[in-house]
Formats: sequence, C-alpha cells, structure tokens
Amino acid sequence: MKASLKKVRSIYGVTEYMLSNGLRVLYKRDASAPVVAVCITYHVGSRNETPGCTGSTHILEHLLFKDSKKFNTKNGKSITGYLEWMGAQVNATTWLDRTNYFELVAAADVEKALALEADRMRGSLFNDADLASEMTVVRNEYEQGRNSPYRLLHEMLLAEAYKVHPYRIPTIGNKEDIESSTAKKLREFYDTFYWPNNATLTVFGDISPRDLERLVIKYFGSIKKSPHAIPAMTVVEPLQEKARQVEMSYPAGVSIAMSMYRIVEATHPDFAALSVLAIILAGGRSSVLQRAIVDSGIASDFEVEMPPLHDAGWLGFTATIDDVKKTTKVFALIQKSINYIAAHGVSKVELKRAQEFILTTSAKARDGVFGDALAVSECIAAGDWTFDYKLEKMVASITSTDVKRATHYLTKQTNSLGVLKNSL
Amino acid sequence: MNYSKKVKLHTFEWKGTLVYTPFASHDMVSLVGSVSGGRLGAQAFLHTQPKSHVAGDVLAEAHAAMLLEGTKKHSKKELQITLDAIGASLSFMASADRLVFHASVRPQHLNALLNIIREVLTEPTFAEKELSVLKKRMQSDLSLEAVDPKAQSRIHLSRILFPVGHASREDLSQESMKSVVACTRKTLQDYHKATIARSSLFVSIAGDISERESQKLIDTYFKKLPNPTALTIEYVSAPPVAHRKVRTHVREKTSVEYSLGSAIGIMDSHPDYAALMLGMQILGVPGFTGRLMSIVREQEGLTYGIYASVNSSARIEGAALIKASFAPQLFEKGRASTLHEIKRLVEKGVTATEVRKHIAMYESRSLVALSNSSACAGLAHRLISEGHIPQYFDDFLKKYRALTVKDVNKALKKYLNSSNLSESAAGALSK
Repeated sequence: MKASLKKVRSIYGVTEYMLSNGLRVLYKRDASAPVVAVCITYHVGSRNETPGCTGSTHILEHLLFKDSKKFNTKNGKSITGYLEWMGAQVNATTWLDRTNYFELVAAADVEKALALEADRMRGSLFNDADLASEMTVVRNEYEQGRNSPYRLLHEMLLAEAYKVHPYRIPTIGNKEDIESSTAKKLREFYDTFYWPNNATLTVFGDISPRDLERLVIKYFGSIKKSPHAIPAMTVVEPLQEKARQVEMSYPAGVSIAMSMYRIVEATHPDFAALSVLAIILAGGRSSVLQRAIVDSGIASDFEVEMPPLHDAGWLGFTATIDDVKKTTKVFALIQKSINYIAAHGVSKVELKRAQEFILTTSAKARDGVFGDALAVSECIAAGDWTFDYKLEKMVASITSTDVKRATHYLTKQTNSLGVLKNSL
Repeated sequence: MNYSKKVKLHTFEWKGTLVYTPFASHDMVSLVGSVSGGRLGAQAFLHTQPKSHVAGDVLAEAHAAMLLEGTKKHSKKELQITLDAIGASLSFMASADRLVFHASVRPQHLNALLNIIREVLTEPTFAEKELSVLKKRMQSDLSLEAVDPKAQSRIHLSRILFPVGHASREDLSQESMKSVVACTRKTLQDYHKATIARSSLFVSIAGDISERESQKLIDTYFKKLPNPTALTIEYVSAPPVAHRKVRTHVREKTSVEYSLGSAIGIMDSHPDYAALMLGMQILGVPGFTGRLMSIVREQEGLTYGIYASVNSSARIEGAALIKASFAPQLFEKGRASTLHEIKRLVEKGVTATEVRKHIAMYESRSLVALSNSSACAGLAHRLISEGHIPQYFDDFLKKYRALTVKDVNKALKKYLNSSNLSESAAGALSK
C-alpha cells in the first residue's frame, strides 16, 4: 500500500502529521538561517530497561553510529562521517524517557539527513565486533562520569528516592550490566523499540512543506510499522511514606547536600504551579533560597532541578558547602521556605518574577531551529510534544493560591536527603 | 557566504564600537560586549601597584564576579530582582585580555538590561560583605578544581607550555587559593577605575532588534562611561619549548585525562596559521571525522573522546593541543596510539582528499554554526575584540580554501614536532 502523510493539526506554529506507518512528524518552517534541524526521538529510554539490561538504551545509541544498510564504511558513507563532512552538527543522546538522534544541516543537505535517519531506523547492521570495540568507549564514558562527586551523590539519592521505578537506575546503566551486554540482547532491544510507530520526527527550518512531505514519504514511507505492540512500561513507584537519607564519603574537595522531593509527571495539571514554585524558591539569583543559602555564605553554590518527565519525577536542590556540618542548616532552610509559602503564599512580585523567568528561559531555548527542535524532543519524551507551549500559557495564569497549593507535594514524607562528606 | 556584507560595524564619536548582525530571532536579543581588561589587563594593572599577593587571574575573575554584587544605586538584591523580573541573563567573565559580558533578553526588556549593564560598569561598590561571600565561592570552586582530573591535566600542561605572564598559563589551584585570600576591596576598586574605558568598548548585538535601534541604544547607554588612559597590556611570546612530561595522581578517580601539546610561537595572522589549523582539524576536529577519533576511538575503542585544536588569536601566541580521556588500564595503550598517529601525520603527511574534504567541512560548519542569535553575536564580538574587521572572516575562508597539501604538511612538520610535544596526565594514575 502506498504511504500517505496525513496532516493532523497545526498548532503553536508547528504542523503535526502522521505517516501511515505510525511515524509522527512535526514540522515548522523557519527561514531565519539557511539551515534545517532534524531530530528523531524514539520513545524509549532507560525507563524501558529491565533488570540485568540496564544501560542497553545508551549502548544501542552508540551502536546506531555503526554501519547501516545504505550508510556504511564499505560504500564510503559511514554514519559517523557522512553528515559531518557536509558541515552538519550531528549527535545523539539517551535519557530516562527517550533516545534522540539529531542533526543541524545546511538546508541543501536535509534530504541526506532524512535518508540516513530513515535507514538506521530499521537497517542498522551492528554486530559482536562493533559492540566489542564500542564497549571500551562506553566504559570510558561511564568512568568519566564517576569522577563527578555531584553525579555520584545524585545517583545514590535517586536509588533511594525510587525503590522500584527505573528512574532509580542511571541512564548509563550499572557497570555489571554494561559489561555483560551482548549484541544479541541489544538486537532484541532494537527490534522491540526502533519502529516508526514508536518515534517522532521533528524537522524545523528552511524547508518548504511540499519538500518536507515528499521527503518524509520517500524515505520513511516504505518502513513497516512494528509487527508487535510496543511494550509499555507499567512499573508504578509506591507512595513514599517517610523521609529517606543517604550518606557517602568522598575526596571531593567540598561537601555536597542534596534534597529531593518526589513530585508529579510533566503532563500533570500541577506541574506548572510546581515549576513556578521551584523558580520562586531557587531559580535565578534573587530567589528565596539563593539569598538565604548562597548570599548568606552558607553554601558557595545552590542549584535547583525539576526535569519534565514522563512519569512522576522530582524537584531537587543541590548545595555545595565547605563544611559538612552545614547540611542540617541547608536542609532546614529549604523546608522552612517551603513551609512559609505553604502558610502564606507568595507575593505578586515573586510570582511575576518566576513567570517572566520561565517564559524567557523558554524563549532562549528556542533561539534558533536547533534549540527549538531539541526542546520539542524533551516534550515528546514527557508524553506531549505541545507540553512546553502549553506550559507557557499555564505558567502565565498561575496564581499565588496555585503555588501555595503546590507545596503539598514538598513534605517530609516525599523528601530524600543526600549528603556527600568531603574526605580530604 | 558573504559575512562581511551581512555584518554592520559602527564606531561612535566616543570611540566605542557596535557590531550588528541581522538575525530573525523570535522574541530574543543576544548581546556580547567587552572592554579592555581580562587576565592580562589585571596583570598589567598589578605591575603599576605596590607588591600584592593577588594574581592577575584571580583579580580579573573576582572583578568580573563582583560587578553584579551591588552598585551605589542598587543593592545586590535589588539588581538580582530587576534582572530576574525581566527574565534577563547577564554574566561577566574575564577572558585573556577583555572583561566580557554575555546577555540575552526579550526585546521589550532591552532598555532595562542595558541600564543595568551601564550601572554596574560605572558604579559598582565592591562591598566587603559580598567580597567575603565571593571569596568563599571562589575557594570552593578551587577546591573542586584541585581534584578534577581534567582541570589538573590542563593546568599542568599550561605551565609547561607557556612562560610566566602569558595569557594561557594557569596558576596551580593551591596558589590561586592563596591569591583569593589576598584580594582586597581596594585592589578591586582601583583596578575597576583603571580598566573600564568607553573607547575600548565593543558591543555585538543580534536578534529581534533593528540596526538603527541597536545604534541608538548603545549610544544612549554607554557614551558616558568613563575613559581613563588604557592599561598597557603586555603579550608575552610563547615559543616552542622542549618536551616535558608531568603526571598528577588524583585520589579515587576512575579515568585518566590526558593533554598533549606544543607552543607554536605564532599568532593567527601568521602566514602558516591557517595551514596548521587545517592540519590540526584533520588530526582531531570535534566529531568523528578527525583521524584520532576514527582510529583511537572508532577502530581501537580506546577512548570516549579525543580531539585536537590550535588556539592562537590576533595578539596571543597559542599552542597546538590534543586532549583525550582514557580508562586507567588503557591509558598507556591510548597514549601510545595517540603519539603514533601524531607521528604518522607529521611524517607521512595529509592527503589531497583529506585537505579537500576538511576545507569543505570547515566552510559548511561556519555557515551552520550561525543558526541562532547568540552564536551570531558571539562570532562578531570575537572577531572585533581580537582586533579584526568582519572582512577577516571572509578573507580567512578564502585563505583556507586556497590551502594545499604542501602548505599543510609543511606547517605540521614545523609546529607539531614530536620533540616539542609535552604531556600532562591526571587522574587514576599510580603514585
């Protein structure tokens, strides 16, 4: 049957199409520079891994830079070099909810980028030898990560905050699992998840809608949809009933205090209010906790993170301190500030500041088609490609009452604390 | 690409310069600006002062960081609230010879942002209380740096390659910590008076704003900046030095960070520079197409990443550098393979195909890289602040296009001499 590309809707300046094999296509025309960003997001991340196979998604990402049917070293079109030789920026990343492969190419080369992504979707030829040569590379990447005291503590804390959900395992995987990977196991993983009906293709830039439609049908139209249903990840993390704490000792030069609250998934209606709350607490230099913790000299650095995730995620704070004894003070200040907002709400000025902060951060992320396409990729992973656009609108309408109400997620019961004590 | 026709240069009566790059960004304006100063400026200033224990690097860094810590009109908190309320990002940093600011904001808030930049450049207070907090922050960063294998590898190599006073030579983390303690409010105030000069101001703007509006705004906000006599910055030469090797053990680390390089003793205006740059691109351009990545990573699986570069500018003699990360048990093998590939490149040379393909890639990358307002503003600022005019970009591409195999091989033989290559490894090494 001939492939067809059906327009689903145009919203937020983006046109959404569905190819007959289930591939979702997002397109935005932007001729501000003669370039096109191509990003294919597979709806598979480390959350889809099973025990014993952790790190598979990431290793597979590496192997998809090995030969494919039409792009290989034998015909002089190796995946690693083909687009780079044209000056393209090329890479891929793996995270909890997704794997994405992306290129920023000159507008004249967009067809080549689409041809390559289509071919490696089902045509990757990786084998045992490829895996063997890539294993040392992956191990080096793993070991480089282990040099960071922040990462060590963060991983330890996530493993405590999540008892059963795969978010408890770092995307790069456990060392034993990484080392016991086989090409056969990875091929099974590839054959389970790498299908058009489990992917979204984003094409933003200087390309006409007619060319987009023609090229998508030409290269992706002949790929069959998966012969099986894509397995759903059904693990649900049980409710946390009491505070948790982990401690470690490490020669970091400084001590580190982390406080993490389990919250909701990105598409939850309360996510917008939580985003505003997070910024009021610790986003930007004038936030409540930056002033209380950094400006007062308790910590040398204080960061907040609230990644938009497919499943219930976390709101985390990280303080860098010179003396581990200050951790108690840091944790107390965090909870005290939350309790204050829970009791009194926030001022109009604080609210306005947080809203402006979020809107500008979003505008910055979309400065240029590459950033725009990659931002959409994260929304796809969270389960709704319109998420960022909706969030902007929702954030603008958040009230002090909404923020006050959102504090009920940040209680001692949902809290996990992590302390890295400097052993130097 | 005809870059110089696209970019507009405007010099004001008061000698400051605006460089404007049209870019159809949506709801975002990016700015990069600078005045003369930076690490070398601070060093030059310290030479005019009675003996101080603070080093140029630390003074320049502390000065940049203190600018947002309060002015005569607004406390630190008020400045922070204003910046956050308009959603602007603004940061100051010290480069080799400039005090640089990076900013981005939605167009409706550009006036407010420029007003803050002007205010912090003209009326900072360098309050004791904030300086004391900053010193703690800097010491904490240095404590992290002291056990960071990448930083230690880089610092130790810089000390082999560059003489005292050179912009790229870094102090040891422990020395910097002492220097932080010695930094005083008075030194910062005096340095500020000596370094903020409107005649040395370059501002680069790109994004959702017109050229005319940009000119008007820069003139309005910066024409009244002070204009002291410029500091005399000394650019110390960095000729090649004999091979040396240093290894730094860092406790409980899981990889070895490896830096390798040679000072080249030439600036980017030297006739050999483009050819050497192309040779280093062939050796280790970021991505997978460099020889080192295709052999040491792709074929031999010895590293996650290995890259080469050369980093001179219009005033600073730089170095040819190679950087890699290895697993401890693969370090010696990785090192040997890296040295072998460098030797093979220098002795056997590059091929005509490599030269052709890498020139085409460089040209396309230059085009693709300019795909957002921040990159456009950044490139224009870099060119202008390094003493070039926009035409330089087009001329350099032209020069690059004309390079031959012979040019590249000659430059590699001359500057990547294996007897001059020094090495620094840090991390999980045996003591």
